[in-house]
Amino acid sequence: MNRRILAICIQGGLLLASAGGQQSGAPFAIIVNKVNRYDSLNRAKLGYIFLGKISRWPWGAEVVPVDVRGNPPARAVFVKSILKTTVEDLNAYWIDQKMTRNADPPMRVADWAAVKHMVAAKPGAVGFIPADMVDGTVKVLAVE
Amino acid sequence: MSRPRLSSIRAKFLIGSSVALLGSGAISYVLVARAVKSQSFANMEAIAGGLARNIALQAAPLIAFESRNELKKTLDLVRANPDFAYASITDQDHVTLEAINANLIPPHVCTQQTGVDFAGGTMHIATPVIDNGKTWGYFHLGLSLARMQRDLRDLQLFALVAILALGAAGLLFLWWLLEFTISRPLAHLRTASQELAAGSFPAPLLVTSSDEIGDLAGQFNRMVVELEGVATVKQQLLEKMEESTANALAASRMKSEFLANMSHEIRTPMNGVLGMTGLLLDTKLSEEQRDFAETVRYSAESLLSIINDILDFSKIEAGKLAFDSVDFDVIPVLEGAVELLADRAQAKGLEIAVLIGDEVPPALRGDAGRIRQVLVNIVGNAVKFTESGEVVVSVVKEGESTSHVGLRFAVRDTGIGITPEARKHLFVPFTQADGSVTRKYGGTGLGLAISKQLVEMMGGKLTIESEPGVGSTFAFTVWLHKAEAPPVSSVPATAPPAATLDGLSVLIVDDNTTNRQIIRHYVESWGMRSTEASDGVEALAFLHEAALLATPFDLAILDAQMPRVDGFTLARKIRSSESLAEVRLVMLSAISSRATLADLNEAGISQFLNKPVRKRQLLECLLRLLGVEEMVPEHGDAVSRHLEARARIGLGRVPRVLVVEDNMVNQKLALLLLRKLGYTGEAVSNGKDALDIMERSAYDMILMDCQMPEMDGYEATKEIRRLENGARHIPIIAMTASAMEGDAEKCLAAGMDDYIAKPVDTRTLAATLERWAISAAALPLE
Repeated sequence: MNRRILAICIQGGLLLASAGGQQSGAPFAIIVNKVNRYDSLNRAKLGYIFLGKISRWPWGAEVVPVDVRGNPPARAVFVKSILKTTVEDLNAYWIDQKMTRNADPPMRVADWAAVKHMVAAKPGAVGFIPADMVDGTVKVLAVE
Repeated sequence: MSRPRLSSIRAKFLIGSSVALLGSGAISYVLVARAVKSQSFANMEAIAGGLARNIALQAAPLIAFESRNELKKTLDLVRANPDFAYASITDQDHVTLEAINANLIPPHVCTQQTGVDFAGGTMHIATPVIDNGKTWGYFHLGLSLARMQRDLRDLQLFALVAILALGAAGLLFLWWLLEFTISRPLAHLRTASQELAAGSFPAPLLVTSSDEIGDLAGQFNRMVVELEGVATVKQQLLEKMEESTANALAASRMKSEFLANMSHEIRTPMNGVLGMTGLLLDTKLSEEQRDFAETVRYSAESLLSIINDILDFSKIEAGKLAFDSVDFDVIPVLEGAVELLADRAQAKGLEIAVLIGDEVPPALRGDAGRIRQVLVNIVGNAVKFTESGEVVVSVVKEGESTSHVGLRFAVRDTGIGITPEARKHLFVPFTQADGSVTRKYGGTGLGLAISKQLVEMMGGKLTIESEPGVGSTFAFTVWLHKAEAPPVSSVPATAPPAATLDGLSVLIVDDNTTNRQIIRHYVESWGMRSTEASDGVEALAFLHEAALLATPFDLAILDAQMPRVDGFTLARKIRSSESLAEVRLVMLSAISSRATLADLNEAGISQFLNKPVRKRQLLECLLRLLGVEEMVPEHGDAVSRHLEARARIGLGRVPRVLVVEDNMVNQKLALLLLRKLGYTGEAVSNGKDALDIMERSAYDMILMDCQMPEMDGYEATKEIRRLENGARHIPIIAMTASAMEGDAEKCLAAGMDDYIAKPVDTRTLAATLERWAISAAALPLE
């Protein structure tokens, strides 16, 4: 019971931190379009999204995961902490998926600013940017 | 013990292998069915499980984002499964998100692991949807087992059919195998064995295999060969045996036939010897000459007796003995036989007695000669083997049927007896009771053997009872045909005329109990009252007593030979006593007794009888004593008797007899005999001469020998009869050397009237001539 309260406290703290637009210690933030009905998503669900396992939001909108080109450090952290894997393994995964299911990896846009723009533009989009780049054009999802 | 049928082997085999195949089939079927079933279920489980797991993997994100469409699509994929019954996906709180055939979902309990349930023909699988260590929800799948079960059933049926078919095929195969390796060969073997058992030799069996059956067949074949060999040997031995038996029998028969045929040749010279010796003894001879002549006669008689025995025996063996069937009176036959031996018996000091039973009929039909022969043999033996005491010969009636009478003859003696050892050899030819007998008693040893045969051939049985040292009894019973009319010579010996003797009293005095009993038996049968006394003293006592009581004896019969006081002395004593003067006396004396008439007169005895006492003679004597019959002297020799015969014939002249006989000695003998008997005669040597002489002279009778050269007796007789042509009938008497089968018939068939056997017995000749002379007298002489 105590641990649960502690977890909630920590998550609440983090939430507050991220709601301020800055994540103290967290290099990235999960952003979604403003119309997205979620406020938070757990890691497993995020994983599903970015691994191409889910294609629609519960309200029917299409899921559009957005990835950044290159391999900036924030991305590696995201991959590690959310997807629980390494960038290399992720690549391998997507090659395999392409082969077997003819599934494409999430789109990769030019840079963090482009990610932000995409997410703000598409209703079903979801992406991640460094925490300090978050502004009012996108919604931040808390990670459970 | 029943033979096992080959079909039963087949049956056994069939049943056995059917059971085995069926059993193993059933077991394998069951095992296979179970295995298949469990395998099917396992398969199903695996498929379901795999399916469930697959779905579970995909479903996690869909459940996470509540993508019902996607979930539905996923479930639809599952639906493609042919056994699909129902499916559903729930969230972690078991709230159904999507389902197909939700109504079929049974209530369940889920665990974290995959759970399998079977209920109502459906396999239910529940799998938690776990991803990243988190249970997102649950996937339920229901697969219908109907198809699987149907498949199973089909499989089972197929298996069953397959097993049965295989079983049947296996059975057939085994059957075929049995048939060819065992049944067929065994059947062949069985057939061959049956053939063998029935006595014929089967063809060799084909040996088609090298197994046990083949071996058996081979052995069988060898056995057959063996048996064939044995049979051949046996056959050869049998043939040889038959041959030697036939040879032996032929030889034996030849011997017997030879002897039987030789009878004539042997008897003819014997006839001469005996006849001439008899005639010689009738002439005046010196003491020495008489002695010699009597020795010759005795020797000749012994020789003749031996020859007769041998010839009889061989005749019996050759099966050529024939029995006469003539009407005769048995009583004289018995008495005659005994008389023959009475001399010898009394010379040894033995009492010899005859007892005739009351009911013995006077007339019977049979062979008197043979009966006499047997009696003479048995009585002769009795006398021979008894040193002291008595020999009693009896005949009684044993039984009667409508046509026959049974007579039991018995000879009881107080002789040395027969030991059980000796008894075994008694009837064996040429053996005596023991070795010493021949030396002591003489004899051929054939007599009893012949007697036994004769008795048995007459339908009787010769029995012996004996106790060594005490005595023996020989007895036999014969059944003789009743005769139609009593023979001429019989005189009723039983009924005295008009009860003359009835009521008279008689004293019987004899030291021998049997004699007393016999006489008593006879006199009491005539109604007399008798008293017995065993010696002179007792006799006198009885006589005096009776006289005193005024009931004196009418008669006294005294035995001459008694110890202490003999008959004559007693007689004199009686005569010298006044009170006993009225008693009439009869003396019984042994034949050999030298008592003369003078002795008798001196003793005051008017009548005497020879022992053994004959019933008829006793009767006649008593009647004479009482003055009923004329006194006729008992002593009569053959001559005087037949002089009377001549007188009775009434020819008024001496009868003429023709003798036809080829043997010169016998011719001479016959003529002499005839002369002795008071006839005249002439002799010729063969039938032809007889016919010649008959043309010239007339004869009253002819004595015809049967076997002669040129023309034999039969031919001559036939010729004579033909010439007679029924006008007159000369009595022709045949003289035969042997009584062979058919001889009598032959003689009679040829036309002869009678026959006598050679060697010719004087008495027989006399009687026969007398008989026919009387009949000849009835016809006038040409």
